[in-house]
Amino acid sequence: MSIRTRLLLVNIGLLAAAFIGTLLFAGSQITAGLRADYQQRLVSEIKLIAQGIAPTAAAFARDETTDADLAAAFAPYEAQIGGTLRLFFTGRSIEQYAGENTARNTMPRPEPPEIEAAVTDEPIVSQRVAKDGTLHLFTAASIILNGNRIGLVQLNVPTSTLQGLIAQRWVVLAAGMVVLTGCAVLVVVWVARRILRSLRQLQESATRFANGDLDHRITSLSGDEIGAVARAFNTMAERIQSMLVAQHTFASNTSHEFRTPLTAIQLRTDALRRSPTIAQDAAARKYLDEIDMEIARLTSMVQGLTLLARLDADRLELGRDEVDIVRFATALRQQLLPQAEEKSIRLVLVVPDKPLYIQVNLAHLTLVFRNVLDNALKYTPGGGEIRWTLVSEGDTIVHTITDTGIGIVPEHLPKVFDRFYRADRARLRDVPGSGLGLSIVYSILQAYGATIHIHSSGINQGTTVTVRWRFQRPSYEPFA
Amino acid sequence: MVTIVVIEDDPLILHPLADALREHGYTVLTAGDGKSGLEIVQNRQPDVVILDILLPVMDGWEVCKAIRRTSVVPILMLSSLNEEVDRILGLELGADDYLTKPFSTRELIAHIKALLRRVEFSTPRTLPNVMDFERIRIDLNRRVVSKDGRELTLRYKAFELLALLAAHAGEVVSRADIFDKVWGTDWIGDTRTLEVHIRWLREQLEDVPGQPQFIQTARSAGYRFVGIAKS
Repeated sequence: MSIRTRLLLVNIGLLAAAFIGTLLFAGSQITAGLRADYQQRLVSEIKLIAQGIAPTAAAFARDETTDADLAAAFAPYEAQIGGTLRLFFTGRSIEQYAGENTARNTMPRPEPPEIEAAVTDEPIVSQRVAKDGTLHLFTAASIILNGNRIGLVQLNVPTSTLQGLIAQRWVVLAAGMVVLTGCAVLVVVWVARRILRSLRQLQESATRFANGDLDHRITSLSGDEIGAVARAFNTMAERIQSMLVAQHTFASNTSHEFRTPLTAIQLRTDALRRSPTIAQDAAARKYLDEIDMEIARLTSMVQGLTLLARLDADRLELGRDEVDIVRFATALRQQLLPQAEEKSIRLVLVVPDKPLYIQVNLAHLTLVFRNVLDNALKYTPGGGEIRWTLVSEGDTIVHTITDTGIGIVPEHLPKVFDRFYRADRARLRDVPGSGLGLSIVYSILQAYGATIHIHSSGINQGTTVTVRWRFQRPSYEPFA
Repeated sequence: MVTIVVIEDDPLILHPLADALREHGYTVLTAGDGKSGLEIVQNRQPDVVILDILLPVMDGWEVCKAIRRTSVVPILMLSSLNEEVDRILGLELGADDYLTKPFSTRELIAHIKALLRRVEFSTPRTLPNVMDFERIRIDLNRRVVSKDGRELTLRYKAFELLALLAAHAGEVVSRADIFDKVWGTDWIGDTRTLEVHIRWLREQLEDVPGQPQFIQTARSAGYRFVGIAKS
């Protein structure tokens, strides 16, 4: 469950619980107050009524007025309160009373509590079920005339009146609470969104950085905990960027440091080769050729190491130059011919007779094919053949480099592209090289979207390397 | 007598390089920093300038820009970096070619020959020394191109390129042929150089470089010079 959901659920849940609790508590307090007030009011009313109907009651007791007159006298009071009045006579006998206003019935035993209280001159209100089955409130007061108690008057009202009042209050209260809760929820949601937005910005920044935008930093820094994380992120980003830049710079600097002495050596071996004495010295010429090979190998390694560093740092710049691969292959073969002739290896190149263009950095291309061909030369014994065929199949250029060399044991085939992998250390100890070559070749080709497969039927069965490289139509309008 | 100025600060490289060039018959003048190198170029008007990028006092980029202000001499830049960015920058700033260290003497000579190469026309005898078109006049002897009577300054290779296309006016010359004839069959490089030269040509020659009228691109085939010959 997301933080957002959790936050909202918990907060809104708590709010709702708090508000409902408050609602219930306040409600019950108000209800109690209302009830007390109402009862108070009933008591006041009955006392007033007792005073007001005293003369009429006295007359009724002397049989000077009819039941109807009594009912008429009661009517206004009953209408005002919404209840029913009854008279009880004392004097001759408490048992006699005018029930339902006019009929003469017996007082029920035991005496209801409000009747007892009325006799003591401190009226109370009592609640019980009336004859019609509903709850009623009863109260009664003494009727005093000329200092004598001549009777009691009882009032009963259905509780529905009171309930109505209470219900009204509850409704108002509840409505108010709903509005308050609504506002509170909105505030909670708004605050949650603010917090989560900061979090989301943090997430976006991290993703951007991870995808390569190393300059990106979080600029809006708040003072809270998320701001602290943002600050920590910026510091981390700074460190990582410097590390990658340092790695890249190191790679470039190293490359530069090696290339200068290599150039110095190359120019001197070239110069030596031009010397007349050396020109006649076959052994010397042979050594010079070998030195050339080693320089080429060193150059390859230097390029390879810097490339590896850049590939690791994910900062390889792909070249966009259009190179005619046919022309390139021809030139590379030319360069390797002396090496091949050394071992009497036939180096054959089969190419189409029209140019084929691919977009690549020339140095990367040289590294790839130089490596593959160097391997072929290394692992093919004297007198063998290396055949490099170049064909275009649809939109892909397919290179097939086959040699008649010592081959690769099938179990080793999947591992040949691993870094520092050498198929058989004991066997190949005479063959120099760092084992890095094929892993670099693989990485470069992969960066350009090309593929390489190596196949061998086994020991001494030769090896075939297949490189597939998609080529583009040359872009004739570079500024379109 | 071909004169080459080599501007390189590392004597370990400068000396064998200069020697090698001399042994191939070139006259070589050298400088160990950008500023003195620039002076020599301005005073002696060489046929080729070989320029290292990392130089004291004034770096290779600056020297290149400065030379270009007054001269169209072919410039070959040497570098220890093989960054894509640097090569494009070199071409944009005015270098005609770029060679990464380490290189062999053989490669260097091949590139210099490519730079100095004069386009060989298949039938030199029947070709006039001046090619006259509506609005454009190409003088092969004086190596001058004029448009609407006004002389244009064209870089070395750009002139060669134009001359080749004009000699085949109306016909499409394939990119492979252009490379072979203008840069030489043993020159290995990328086609960006050609694109850049075509762009330079258009900037000089066309009324609106974006809408070429004289140097046209023939899709997937090559380029063509369109001009009406004045007989």
